[in-house]
Amino acid sequence: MLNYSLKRFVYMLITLWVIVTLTFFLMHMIPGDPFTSEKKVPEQIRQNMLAKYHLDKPLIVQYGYYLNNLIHGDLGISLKYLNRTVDDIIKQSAPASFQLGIQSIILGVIFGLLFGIIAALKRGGGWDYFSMFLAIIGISVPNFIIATLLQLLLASKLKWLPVSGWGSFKYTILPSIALSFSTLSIISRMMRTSMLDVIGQDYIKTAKAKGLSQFQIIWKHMVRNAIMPVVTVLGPLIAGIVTGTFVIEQIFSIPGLGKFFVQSIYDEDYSMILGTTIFYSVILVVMMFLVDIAYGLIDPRVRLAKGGK
Amino acid sequence: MKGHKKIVIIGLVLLMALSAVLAGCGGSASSSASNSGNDKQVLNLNLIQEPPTLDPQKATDVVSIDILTEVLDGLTRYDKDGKIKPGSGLAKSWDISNDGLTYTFHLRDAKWSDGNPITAQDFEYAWKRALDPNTASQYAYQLFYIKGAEEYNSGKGSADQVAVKALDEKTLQVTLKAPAPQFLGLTSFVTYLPLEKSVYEKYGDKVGTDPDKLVYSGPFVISQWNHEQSITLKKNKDYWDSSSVKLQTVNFSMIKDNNTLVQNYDNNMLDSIFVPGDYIDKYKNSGEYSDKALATTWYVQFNTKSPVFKNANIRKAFALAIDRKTFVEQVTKDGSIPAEAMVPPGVPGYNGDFRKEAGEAYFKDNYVAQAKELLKKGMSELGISKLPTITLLGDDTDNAKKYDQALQQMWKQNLGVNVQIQNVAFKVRLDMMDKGNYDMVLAGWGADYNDPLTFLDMWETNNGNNTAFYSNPEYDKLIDEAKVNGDLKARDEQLIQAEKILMNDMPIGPVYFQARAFVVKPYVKDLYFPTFGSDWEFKWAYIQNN
Repeated sequence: MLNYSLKRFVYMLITLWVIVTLTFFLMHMIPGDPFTSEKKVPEQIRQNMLAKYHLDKPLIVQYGYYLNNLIHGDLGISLKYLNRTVDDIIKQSAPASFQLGIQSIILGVIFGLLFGIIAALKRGGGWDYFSMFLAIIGISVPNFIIATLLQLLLASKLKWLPVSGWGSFKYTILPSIALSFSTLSIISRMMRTSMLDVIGQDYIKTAKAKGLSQFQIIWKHMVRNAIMPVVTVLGPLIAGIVTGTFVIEQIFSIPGLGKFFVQSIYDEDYSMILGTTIFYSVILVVMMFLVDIAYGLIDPRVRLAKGGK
Repeated sequence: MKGHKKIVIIGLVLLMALSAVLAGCGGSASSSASNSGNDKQVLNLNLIQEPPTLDPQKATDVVSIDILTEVLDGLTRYDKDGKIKPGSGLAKSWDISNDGLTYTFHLRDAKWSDGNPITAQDFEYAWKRALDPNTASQYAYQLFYIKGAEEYNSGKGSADQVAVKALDEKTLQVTLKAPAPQFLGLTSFVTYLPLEKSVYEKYGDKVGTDPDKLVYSGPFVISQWNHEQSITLKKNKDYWDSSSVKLQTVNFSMIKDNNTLVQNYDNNMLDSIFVPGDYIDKYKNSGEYSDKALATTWYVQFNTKSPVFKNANIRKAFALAIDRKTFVEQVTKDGSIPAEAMVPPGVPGYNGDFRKEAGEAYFKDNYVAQAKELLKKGMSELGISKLPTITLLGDDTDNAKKYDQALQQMWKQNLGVNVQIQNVAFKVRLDMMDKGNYDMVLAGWGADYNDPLTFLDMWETNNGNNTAFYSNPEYDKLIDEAKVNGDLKARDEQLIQAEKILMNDMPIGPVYFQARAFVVKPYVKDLYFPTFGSDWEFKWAYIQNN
């Protein structure tokens, strides 16, 4: 197990290095640079600015600087928010995105699993159609429409919740719900399909024949076997959501990380582009690693297969 | 055993959730104060984004300027009626030498928010800091009017050779390299706004990253700054003119979504907003709506090096075929004015409005017959019978796309020409313009200072902003002369002459003078919207008791 983890860790570093390198060279291919502005400044001023932020050096030298700083945990200074470091910006913005992401994942997973399980058990019934209806809405209606509708109804008209902003728990309710819809839909559909697979298996019949209670059959035999595909998608899903979502954060005016992923590219804020990319990649890779471990915990067969090698 | 693991998993998930919730809660307290009681002197406004930097010598964008001009005073400050007067800022008076080159400013007794006196030395230090190559200030060139400034900034001179000098604690002497009537106004501009010398020395590059790394001399101080979320200003008790300031608190949110913005205004969370294009019809007849011209001109810029638009007649044909009246009434809808010249109205000339002196229009709007004629003539001059594919470059914002399509439609209808549209990100557009990779582009220019020159010197042959690659020696000569002319009447004549040449050669076809639509709640009084510079001036604003 230790050996395996170590190997995975090395792979993780290599993956990150490839991502950093690709991003670094790709972003420098975007026409313009961070200091491209509508009002031209005298050439000498431009040179002063490029020199201050080491952008006057050959690209490969800049790359070397960057990797060196990165190894020391320094993501550099933002080229748009001059004087602020990317580390600071991520540290300040990530908690809001993280809280929002986790809340929406919890909502999405709980209700997704619930709807999926019930739909499979009551296949063809009212619940099945209801959950299918919900899933279709969740997948086909973009979350910004759901967000705007929730905002209009619950905040603007009924005034139960604030329209936008961030601070106490009540500010997180609407965005969490809006954000949870797609998770809920994906998970409920997936859970339903995989439950239906499991329901037809022989060991379910055996379990019934053994005289196990309905609850035990569902919980121990069906759900446990059916949940694997859901766990697989959960890794990337969580990584994607907890690092912030541009649209939802913009609609509810949440000081999260989401906008930096998009805006940094428009601003050609090189250090910010790399910073957000690395941050996301690290979380993604870690989530995948956790998913792998979770496999082993949920399904002993996975562990056996690995142990056998 | 199995049961244990399950509990472990569930426990882990719960722990993660809990820690996330806690992490989120610790960060910040709610700050979007609602104005439940309008009798309180609290104003709620929205910034379109987080200010990129509150270091006055590094700030270049309007949001940073919005904040900085309310917390810092310059030598001068624009008055309620948009004029520079002695005593409206930190200089109570000034003397200008007869040759128009030497300015001697006499400072009033005023204090920084930390209680120390504001001195001429603070100004000298701040201005030299802006010019220091190591500061790498993008707007350093705003100080290039000063003798020795450009040399210092480009490493050819020293700080001591910059002709700005504190003669004593309260007297600042500045020598310009050429007469510049706009200089007095410029001393209110953000790059010229000083902080206390000791603050610069203490925080260096970290100046302005947080409220405690600033010191204040303006009507307000920053009391709280939650990055990406809100800024709170409080009245500056030490301000020299604090008796004029009635507001106690100004709250800024940072909402970017248009719909959210409008809903916050409708729910009284904001007292004034700039109305997004799609919502103008909603407010137009509300009584809370106004619009105001900005000193900004939008025009179709032609690449005079392109195979087609090197021909002046074809450029004119495309310019005349635009129906500006329809454009501002049906497309922009925000109170913008049709433009038939380069310099927008409201910019002062020698004696009153430059636009009135030079004449309102150099050509007729929507002059289709003439446009067709000119196109035919131009094509025969080029010896072509069919136009190659012509592309209009534009930004990839919703508004820009709408505007580009309207122009495309007009050219199709009036000239029978099919124009392609290419929408790209802002910086990509600028880069393509620099490199001449375009046929024509819808571009805009806002005033750097309140003088016609800011709209005209950009079209000189070697000016970096002249991405139309326009070149006319006669034009260059007039502008060069006007730049150093101490005789302001003759200077005005030269600028009028130059604009006339520009509009005759037409490297650009003006489309509209930009205006901005806004709504203000009726209980907000004396909130001003300056023509250029910052979005608001709320030094004198107050909330009327109901």
